[in-house]
Order: sequence, then structure tokens, then C-alpha cells
Amino acid sequence: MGRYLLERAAQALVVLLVVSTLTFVMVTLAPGGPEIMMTMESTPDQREALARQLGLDQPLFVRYVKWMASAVRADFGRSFGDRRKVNEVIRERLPNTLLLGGTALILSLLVGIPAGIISATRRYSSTDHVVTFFSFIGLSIPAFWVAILLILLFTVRLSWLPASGMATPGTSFLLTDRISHLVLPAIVLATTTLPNLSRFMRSALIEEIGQDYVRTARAKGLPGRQVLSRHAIRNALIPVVTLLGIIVPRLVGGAVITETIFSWPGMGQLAVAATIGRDFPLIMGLTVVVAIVVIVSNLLVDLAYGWLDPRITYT
Amino acid sequence: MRVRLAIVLLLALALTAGFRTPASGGPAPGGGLVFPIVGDPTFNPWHPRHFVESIFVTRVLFNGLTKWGKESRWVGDLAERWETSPDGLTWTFYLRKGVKWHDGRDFTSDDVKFTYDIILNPRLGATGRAAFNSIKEIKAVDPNTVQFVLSAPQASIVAVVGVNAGIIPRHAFTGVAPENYWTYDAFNKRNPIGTGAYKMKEYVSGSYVTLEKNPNYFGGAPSIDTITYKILPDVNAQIAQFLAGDLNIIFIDNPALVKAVQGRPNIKVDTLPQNNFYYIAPNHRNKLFQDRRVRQAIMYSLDRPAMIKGFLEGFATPASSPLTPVLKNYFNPNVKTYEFDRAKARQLLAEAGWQLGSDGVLVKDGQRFRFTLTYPTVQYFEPLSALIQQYLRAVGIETVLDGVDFNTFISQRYLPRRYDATVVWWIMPEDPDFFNYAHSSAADTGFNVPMYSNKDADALMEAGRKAQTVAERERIYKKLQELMAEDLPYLQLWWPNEIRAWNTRLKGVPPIHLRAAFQWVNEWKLE
Repeated sequence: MGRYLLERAAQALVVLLVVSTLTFVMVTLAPGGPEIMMTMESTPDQREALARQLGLDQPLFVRYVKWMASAVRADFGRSFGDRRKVNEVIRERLPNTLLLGGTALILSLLVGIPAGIISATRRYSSTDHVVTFFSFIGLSIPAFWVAILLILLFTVRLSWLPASGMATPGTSFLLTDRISHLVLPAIVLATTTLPNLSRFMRSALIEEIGQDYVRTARAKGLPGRQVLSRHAIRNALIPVVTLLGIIVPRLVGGAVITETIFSWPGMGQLAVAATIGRDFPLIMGLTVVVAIVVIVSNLLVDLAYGWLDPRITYT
Repeated sequence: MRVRLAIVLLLALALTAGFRTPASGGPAPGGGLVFPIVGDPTFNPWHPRHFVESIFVTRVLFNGLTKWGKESRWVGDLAERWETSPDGLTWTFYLRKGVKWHDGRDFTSDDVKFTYDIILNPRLGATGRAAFNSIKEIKAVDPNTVQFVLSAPQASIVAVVGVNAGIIPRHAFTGVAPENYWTYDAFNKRNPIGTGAYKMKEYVSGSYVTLEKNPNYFGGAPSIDTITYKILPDVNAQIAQFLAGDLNIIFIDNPALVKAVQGRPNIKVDTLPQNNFYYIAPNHRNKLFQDRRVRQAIMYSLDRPAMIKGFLEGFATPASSPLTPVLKNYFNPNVKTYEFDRAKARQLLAEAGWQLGSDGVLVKDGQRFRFTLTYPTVQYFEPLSALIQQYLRAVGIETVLDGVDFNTFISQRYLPRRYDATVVWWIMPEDPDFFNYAHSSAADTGFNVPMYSNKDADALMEAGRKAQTVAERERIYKKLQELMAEDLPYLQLWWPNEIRAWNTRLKGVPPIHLRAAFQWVNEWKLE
């Protein structure tokens, strides 16, 4: 196992190197420049001064080497926008994204997996049809529409839930306040992942239930619930776990719409603003962080396989 | 099983009791003003990242030498009065006495010198530099007097020192080297120190900024206790929260959203003209546009009232000039105007030598009348440009649309002047000084977007800067507007109104554009 992890770590470094180099090149070659230089009212000497301050007067290779040299020490420099340290900005935003994404994920798992299981075991029943119907609605409806609808209902009409932010401005930490702010964005974000999970679970379980070993177990006299819980579901989880490996990075880097509408200060919103503003250090820092998240979640998915599937070992 | 379910449900119910329910009426009297901004602000008015969201905050935290007054004229802010030398090259500002910074220290002319030295420092790239181009030197004559020495007369200095020109304290930057001013987060992002009506209370990055009232404000202690700027990047979320009562004043950028808030008993929608014009800037270096008749023909071929109705729900006025009626006595209402008249357009084009080709596109000396219309893909520019394309096609002019995102527009089109014609806008300080926008010296690297060069216009703009009396300036700028209406440096489209809305509990918002209105926030009241 130790050797396996070392191999994965080495692979990870190579991936990070390739990803960061590719991103650096693409972002530098893309048209446009840092938004503090790209305004209608800037003057040539202003742009020159800023270019010098941001290090843009140096050749591409020099900038790359400088970036790499500090990146390996986990120092991603200062944003080209408000000049704050990239590490500080990411450190502020990442926990918020993990909180929202994590809540949405847990919600999706708690509702999606059982829904998929029920759908599969009661295939073609009215319950199955209801679950499938809502899954397709969830897959088809754009997140921003659901978000605005929920805000109109729960904030404007009913005044039950707040429409933005993580906490009420000016108040000290209050758990119920924090939870009330989490409800709507987490639900909206979950609508993007829950239907996928439930559909996947459903089809994977249907596949398993049709297998010979399930028929054998039933023939042996095992109660239906045990057949499911001890055998079929465990095996059906394998494709679902694969899906998680894709969902997690998407929640960390891509929940832009939900974060924007609910003004949830997260990584997705930051990434889009950084891209629009051509904020190279911030873009690079975010890329590396999200790449690490992808690498780690893929590793966890692979380890989960090992746990779920006794045929797989990592020694 | 049933008992467990019951317990879970009861717990859930108990939790909801603690949920924050926004009061539909808003905060208590005195209470707090809550206004949305679209991004994180920077608390230093000279920082390169000082954009629109920051303006609403720094105009409250800091004061400039002058500000735009409630009766639509420039009045003193940190300066009580001012005078200029006979040659117009030295301006003396007499500062208010007894003004204190938020940390209790005394405000003096040295702070003004410190601030303007930052702007003049060519290595820093402070924002808004262009407006102060003619300032050569600042002298702190005595603690309450400061002098600006100009390289050339500029009568609009009084306006220029009042627009986003907040004075910052020297003592807050002791020990900080100038090259580190923009990375000095302690001031720029955490604890700004100003002279304004409100001071910093709390800032949660990505969420909100709260300012609390400064009872020692020299302009009179504010009535409203706090101002909270909520960071809400999504406009629909802003409207929803305004309707729910979580915000008590908003700025409405998109006129289509007005109907969402209009007609409610506790909401007042207010609109007023602003010194802002939208235009097509033909590149005067392009042969196609060098004949004045062609430019006039293009103006005649556009149905501007219809476009205003379609894109702006009527919240704009067709522009007769780049200078707006907001400028009052400097505005000339009697200039040549261009009603929608296709026949006139076709006639002028014919007079300029353009013949209609077999495919309906004008031809002259073997060249088709075809050009690229460049625009940034923001606001309504995309459909607007497509519509302009249609109007021009109807008179035989073929256009190719070139829309790019704003950043690319600035870096690849506007700055290198790579366009045949472009559709943009200018928001200008309330002064008729149009020098930076149309003088030939500002063509390649200034704000002279159409690259206009006209000796008579140049002379008028230079005279306008040198003029010593208001009456003379009025005469000169009225003449300039006459010229511009005939010669069309810019093809002015319209002057859009500003639209804002507030809860009827809020009183005292002066009838000036919102950024300037915030400079009078100490007089606002929440009942």
C-alpha cells in the first residue's frame, strides 16, 4: 500500500507540473490583460507603471520560472487585482466552498442514494416513476432558475430564509443563522448532483440485481434486505463512487452560478472573476488548488474501490 | 421508529425557530442603510483596482477638495474657497480648519500634498491620473492652504479635484515605501482612515462592508447609524432582496428591471439625467468617415427614439451633443439635430459621391461602403449593434459586427485603436471641458476615441481651459457644441438616465447622481 501511495504521489507531481505549465501558457497567450490596466480611462504611463509592478515587462520564460520557483514553496504571489496575497484569498474562500459543496454533497447522498435504491427495487412502480420524473426535472432545470424561484418564494414572499451571504451582517456567530443561510444554496447546488446520483444508483443496482449471484443468494434463502444491503448495493456503489470522483471537483471549482446568485464567497465565483480580470497569479493559484482537489478525490475514489471490491488490492 | 422520526421532526422545528426572518420594513429608525455593490471594494481611492463598487464606499469614507452639490454645482468639501492666479497657472485652495481624521489626528495641507504626490508619481500608476495631467506641482503653503501649479491653464480643475479624488492621510502610510502603496492591505483592504461622514466598522471579504457614523464629521453628524454595503454580484438577487426589505436603496442598471420594483407602496423609483453619453465613434482616420456628409447621413439613418424605447424602456433622451443638459448654462440647446430621416441620409450619401450598387450596397470609386462595427459584449451593445447594422443596411451601408468581451475590447481594439467604428459610452465629470475626449492631442493615446482632429475645435477647447470667467466659458463651450453638432466628432446616440430606488422610509437623498448623492449621506434619514 505504501508503495502504491508513493507512486500516486509521484504521478500527482507530474500532473501538477503539466497542468500548471499548460495553464500558464494558455492564460498568458490569451487576448486581454490584467483589468487594472485595461480600463477606458487609463493612460500610457499608468499602464507602463502597472506592467512593471506586475512583472509583465519581463519575458514569458522568466515569469514562468519565477512563478514556479515560488509555487513550489506554496507561495502563489499577489493577485493582479487588489494585490492581496493569493494564498490569503484562497484560504478565505476554500472553506466556504467546502462547506457549501460538502453540504450539497451530503444532501445529495442522503436523498439520492436511497431514492436510487427504492427506484431500482420497485422498478416501474409509481414510486419509481415519481422519483424518475423529479430526477429528470432536476437534470433539466437550470440552477439559476431554481435559485431565483426559491429566493422569490422563501425570502420575498414568506420571509423564512435569507437570500444571500453566509451570515447576517453585523451579528456574531450563531449556528441557526449560519444554517438558515446554507439551506437555499445547498438545495440549489444539490439539484445539480442529486439526480445524477439517484439515476446512477438506480441503473447500477438494477444491473446488480439481474446478476446470477443475487439469484443464487435468494435461492439460498437469504432475506431480500440482506441480499441487497450485503451484496447488491455494495457492488452497485462502484460506478456511483466513480461519479463522486467527478462531482467533487465540480463542486469545488464550478459552483459559480449558485455562488454568484447567493453571493456565497466561494472558489467558483473567484475563479470566474479572476478569469474575466485576467488575474494571472490568482488563476494559477486556483488551478493548482483545484488540481490538487481533483488528484486527492481521484485517489480517494480509487481507495474506495479497493474497499468495495475485494478483487482489487493495492499492494 | 416512529418516536425517532418524531424527535427528528421536532428538532427540525426547533431549529427553524432560530432562523433569521428579515423584517419586511427594514432596520429600526436611525438604524442602518443597506446598499448592494457587485464586488469587493478597495478602500483607497487611488488604488488601480478602485472601480465602481469601491467608489460608493470611498466617497463616504473620504472627502475631496470639492464635491458636486445638491443644487448641481461644485461646492467646497475639504476646501472652503479657492482662487486662481491671473495667468491661470496657480490655483490656491483654502482648507477647512479643525477637520480631524477618523483616528483623531488633524487634517492638514500636508495630507493633500501627500495624496496628490501619489497621483503625480509616474512610477505608481494611480487611478484617474489622466484628469490631473496638467498639475505640475503641489505646494503646502501653510497647514490650511495648498497650491496647485499647473503646466497649462485648466479652468475645470475645480471639478476635477472633486471627482473620486479623496484625500488620504500621510500618517497612515509612514514606514511604507511608495512602491508598496498598492500592496499595503492594512489600509487598502482593512482599516482605511478618512475624514468622511462614516468610518470603517467591519469588513467581511466577499460578504459586506459596514461603516459606522462619524459623530465628529465636519459636515454635520450623520443621522443614520450605519451603512452596510452588501456584496451581491447578481442583479436579480439585488432586486429580490430589495423587495424583501433587506436592502433599502439600490441602483438600477438595467431599465427592464424597473417594472419589478415599481408600483409598490413602500418603494420610490427615482430617475434623473446624468453626464453620460452613448455613442458610435467613427475612426476619423478611416477614409470612409472623413466626409462630414457621411457622418451626418449615419446620424439621420438611425431611429434613436425607437432604440431608446426598445433597449432603455424610455429612460434616456436622444443626444444632441456629447455635452449633456446636466451642465446647465454650459449646455447649448440650439444646435443642429438629426431626426430619423432615411431620405435625408440617402441624399447626403449621394451628395458625397456614393452610388447604390446592384446588391443594395453603396459603391464609390470601386470601393464598397463596408466597415466593421466593434463593440464590447456588455450591457445591450450586442443587440444594439445588430440593430444599427440593420438601420445602416437600409441606406446602403454594409457593416460587419465585431463584438468582444470588455477586457479584450480594451486591450485589442480600443487601446491600439484597431477599429473602423466602435460603440461605447463616456461618463464625464460635470464640467464642459471636453479636451481629453476630442482634442487632437488626445487622439492616439488619450480618450479621443474617434481620433478626431479639427483645428477650430482644438482652439475652442484650449480657449475653454484658459477662460477666466464663467460667462466666457459658457460662450466658448456653446460654440463648441454648435461645431460638434455640425462636424460630428462623435455620433452621439443618447444620454441615459440614472435610475435608483429606495424604501420610502429613507429621506433626504439629493437629486444628483447616486455617487455624488452618497457624499451627502450625513443628511439622509431613515424613519
